[in-house]
Amino acid sequence: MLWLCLDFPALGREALGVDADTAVLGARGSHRWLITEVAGSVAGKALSAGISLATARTHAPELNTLPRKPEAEREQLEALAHTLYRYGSPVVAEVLEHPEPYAVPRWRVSVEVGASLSLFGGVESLREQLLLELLDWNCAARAGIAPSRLAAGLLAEAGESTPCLQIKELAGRLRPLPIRLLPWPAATLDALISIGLSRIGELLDAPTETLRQRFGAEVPRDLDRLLARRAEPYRAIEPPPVFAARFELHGEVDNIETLLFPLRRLCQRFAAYLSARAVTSMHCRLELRHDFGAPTIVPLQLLSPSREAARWFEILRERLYRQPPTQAVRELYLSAEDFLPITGSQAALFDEHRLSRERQAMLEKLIARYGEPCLWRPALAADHRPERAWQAGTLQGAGAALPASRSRRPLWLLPKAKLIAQPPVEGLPERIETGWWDGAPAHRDYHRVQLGERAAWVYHDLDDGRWHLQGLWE
Amino acid sequence: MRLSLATPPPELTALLDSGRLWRGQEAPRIAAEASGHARLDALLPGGGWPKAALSEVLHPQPGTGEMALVLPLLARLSQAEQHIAFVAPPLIPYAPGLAQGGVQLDYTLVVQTPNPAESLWASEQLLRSGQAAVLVWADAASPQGLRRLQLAAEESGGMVLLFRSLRRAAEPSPAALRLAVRREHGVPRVQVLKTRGHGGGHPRPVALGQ
Repeated sequence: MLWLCLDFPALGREALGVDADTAVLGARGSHRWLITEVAGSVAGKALSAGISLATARTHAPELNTLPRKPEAEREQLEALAHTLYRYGSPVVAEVLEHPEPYAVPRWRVSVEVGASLSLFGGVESLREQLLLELLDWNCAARAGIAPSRLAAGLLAEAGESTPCLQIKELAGRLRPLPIRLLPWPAATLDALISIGLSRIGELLDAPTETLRQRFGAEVPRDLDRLLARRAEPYRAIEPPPVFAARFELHGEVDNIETLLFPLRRLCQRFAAYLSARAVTSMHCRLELRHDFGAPTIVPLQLLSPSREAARWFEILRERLYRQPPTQAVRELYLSAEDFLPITGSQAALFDEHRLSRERQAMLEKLIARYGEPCLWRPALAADHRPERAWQAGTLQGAGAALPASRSRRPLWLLPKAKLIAQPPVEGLPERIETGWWDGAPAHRDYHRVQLGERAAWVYHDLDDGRWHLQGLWE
Repeated sequence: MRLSLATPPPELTALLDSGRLWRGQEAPRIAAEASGHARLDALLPGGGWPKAALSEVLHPQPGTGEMALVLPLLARLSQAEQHIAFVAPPLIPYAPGLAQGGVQLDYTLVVQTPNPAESLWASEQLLRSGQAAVLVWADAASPQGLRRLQLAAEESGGMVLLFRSLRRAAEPSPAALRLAVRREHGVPRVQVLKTRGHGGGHPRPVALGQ
C-alpha cells in the first residue's frame, strides 16, 4: 500500500471560518488551551498550539477566542476527504488526539494512492494536482507519502515532502524524526524522552519487550504499524446517499456579505460530495435557520446538471440578493437528495458546447436574480382569442409547432386591453367569436386604426358595444 | 523620403481590417447586419446595424414603428439559430405577430427586470454569454451604463439595440449608431442621427420597407 496523508494543522480554526488571529480553545475541566497556532499576535510572533489560554493572555491580552466545535471539524474533514476520492481509495479521515489537557489534535485525511499512480502520471504529479485542488479550499495542508498511513502522517507533519515509496526505505526516513510526532499520550512521550529516547531511530533500536513492559503494548504495536509491518485498521469514508451540510455562524448575521463565506464553503462541500460519488445534480435546497421561527427555504433548480461549486454558489448568491432573509441568520444548511449519473461523454460534450453551457449558466443567474416568471420565451398557443393566442413559454425545450394565425397580427400586445373611445374605422373588420365553452366568450370585431401617432389594433366588443385597444402594429 | 501608405504594412492592414482604424478619405469598413430596409441600409456604413456595437433607437413612444424597424433583423438572426433577447420591453412582444414576421420563437427570450440599472446589467450578461442581439428598453440609462454596454458588445461581438425616448437625442451617447423613428402621415420613417465614421447624420428620414 502507498498512502498519501494530508495533515491540516489549522483545521480546528478553519472549520469555524475565522481569521488566523483568533484562538480556538480546547477545554477539559478547568483547563483551556489553544488547539491551533495563532498567527502574529505578539509582536509578529505566533502563539503555538498547546499553550494554555492563561499563558497566551499574558502575551496577548486582547486575544479573540472561540471554543472549538468538534462537529464542525468533523464535517470539514469529511468534505476534504470527499475531494480526495478521485485520487484513490480507501479514503480515511481521522482526528488523532488524547483526552488530556493541552492535547493538540491532528486532523488528517489519508488516501491509498498505490493503484492510481499510473492514472495520474506518477506520484509527484498526483500530489501536485491534489494540492492544486486544495488551493480552492483555502486551508493549510501538508502532504506526506509513505507505505504506512501513520508514517505518511509523520512525514507530512515533519514537512518531509519527498515521498517514501519503499517499505525498506521507511525506517531510514523515520529515524531522524523526533518522537513527539507520534500520536501518543503526553505521559508516554515524556517518559520515553526522560530515558533518552528522543528520536524515532532510538526507539526502533530499543528492545521491543522492554518497551512493551515499561510503556504498554501500544508502543511496539504502533511502531510495527509505522513501519508497515502490521495492518493499520481504518474506517473508510463513504459519502452518504444524500447530501447535507451545515454551517453555524458565530452569532446572528443579517447582512448578506457575511453569509457569502459560509455559503461558498457549503457549495464547495457539495461539489466535493458530488465528485466523490461521481454524480451530478440539478436541485439543491438552502435553509437559512433563524433563532426563532421557521427557516427561510431557498430551493434551487438548475437548467442542466452541474457539479461545479462556483455555479451553485453564484446562483444561490443571486437568490440571496433578490430575496434577502427577513430575519437574522444563525445557521446555513444545504441539502440535496436527487442525483444523476454522469454520462460517459458528458465532460467532453460540455467542452464542445461551451457557449451553450455559458448561456445556461447565465440564464440560471438571471432566473436567480429576477425569479423564474421574469424569464420566458414568446410562444404560440392554440386559441383564437388574441390574449390567449400566445403564452410565456419555458426556457427548456422547443415550443409547439403551431400554425401562425392566417390574419395579420401586430408585434406588440398590451398586457390588458384598454378601454378607448370609438375610433374612426375603415374597411372590413376581422370577426372573432369563440370561447363560449370556457366561460370567457369573445364576440369581437378587430380593426387596424390610426390612434394618434400609432397604428393600433382595436376591437369592438359586440356584447357590450365598447371599444378596446389591444395591440400596436409596429 | 515620403512615406507612402499605398500598400500599408501588415500591422496596419490588420488594424484596418478589424475596423478599429480607418482612413479619413474612405468609408470605414464596418461589420454590419443588414437591417432589411433597403433605403436605410444604403445610408449606413457597412450597410446595416453595426456588429459588436451599441445602437440606439429613439422613438416618441412604444408602437411608433420601432418593432417594424428591427423585425427583419430578428427574423434573419433567429432563422440562423442565433439567440435574441428582449430586455424590459414596455409591452408584450406578441408571439403570433413575431412568428408571422419570420421570427423563430425558439431563439427568443424575454427578461423582465425591476429597474433600468438591472436591465443594463442583464443585457451585459446576455451579451457576454453569446447572445447575438439584445434589445433593451432603458430610457434612463446613465452614460456610464451605456459605455459598459458598448464595451460588452465590443468584447462579445454581439449587438445591442437600446430603445429610448426621442428626448434623449440631445444627450451625448457612445452608441455607434443612433436612429430616430417617427411617424409621418401614418407611416414610420427613420432618420439617421449618428453613425460611426461619419461626422453628422443624414437629415432626410427614409421610409421603412424593402
